[in-house]
Amino acid sequence: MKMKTIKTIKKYCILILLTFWAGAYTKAQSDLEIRKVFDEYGSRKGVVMVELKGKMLEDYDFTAFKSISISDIPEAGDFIRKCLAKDEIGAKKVKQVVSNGKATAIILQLAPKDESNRLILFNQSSSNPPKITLIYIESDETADDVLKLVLKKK
Amino acid sequence: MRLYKSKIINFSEADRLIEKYYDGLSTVEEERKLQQFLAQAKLPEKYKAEKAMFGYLKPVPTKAKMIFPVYLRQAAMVALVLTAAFTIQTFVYAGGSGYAIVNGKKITNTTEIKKIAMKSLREISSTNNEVEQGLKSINNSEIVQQQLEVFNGLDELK
Repeated sequence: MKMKTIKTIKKYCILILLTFWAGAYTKAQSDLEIRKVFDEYGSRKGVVMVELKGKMLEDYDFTAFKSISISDIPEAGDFIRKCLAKDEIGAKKVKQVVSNGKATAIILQLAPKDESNRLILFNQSSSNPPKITLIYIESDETADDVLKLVLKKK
Repeated sequence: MRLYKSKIINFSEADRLIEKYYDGLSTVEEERKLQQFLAQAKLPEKYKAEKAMFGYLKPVPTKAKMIFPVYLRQAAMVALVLTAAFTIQTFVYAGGSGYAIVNGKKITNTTEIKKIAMKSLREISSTNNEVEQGLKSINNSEIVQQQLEVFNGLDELK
């Protein structure tokens, strides 16, 4: 086989790989700091992480849903708070609860992306050891409607 | 006998130009005429040597090839990659996917995943209700009164 043909094949293989990578990486929350939380703690012991997209969410009026529940890793709370402090920039803080000088509950309404409303919900329970829950939601509905839907779920 | 007629130059004219060429006296125009004459398909054997010699000078017809500028080809490549990425994003990734990872173990059962998702939503909503109740209690006038009473002592000091 000619060297030129091999080079062309290589070039196209790289392009195809790049294409798949681009497709996989262009996730909406990839521009957020909380992405680090999912990457860092997602596969650890005592952690439950969920990611739902597209048709899987058609009953919920969401277009994307990602959550992480962390038990027995107290330092995760501070890490999340640091990440949220960065994501807070340009976002609307819907709710914040501070206990003993630390934010134990935060709800952020992020700037819409691709005509999609985005919300981050964080909670750290007062139980010992604390249970931490972080949720990222994307929806075509208004942020208020999403919050009503989320907060009425029991 | 077949007559070799050239529209360009005749045989005697060709012989004269060939002689001039060998003497190094031919002009560019004359050489061009000679080249056209020798490029003819069937010529007498006596012109074989000149034909071979001028054959090297005959312009090689080039195939018409469409050549795009490099920047245009690169732009086309970028556009192709972006289009493919967008298509994948739209039709593959947004098609409906989900997973859950529990203690490092991946779960792909749809019902199970939805249950876990709902559980995390409930955790958030229940806490927020607790918070709302807490906030309501803060609004309680009794607490406000108690807090204001702390400052009553300051008036007496005056």
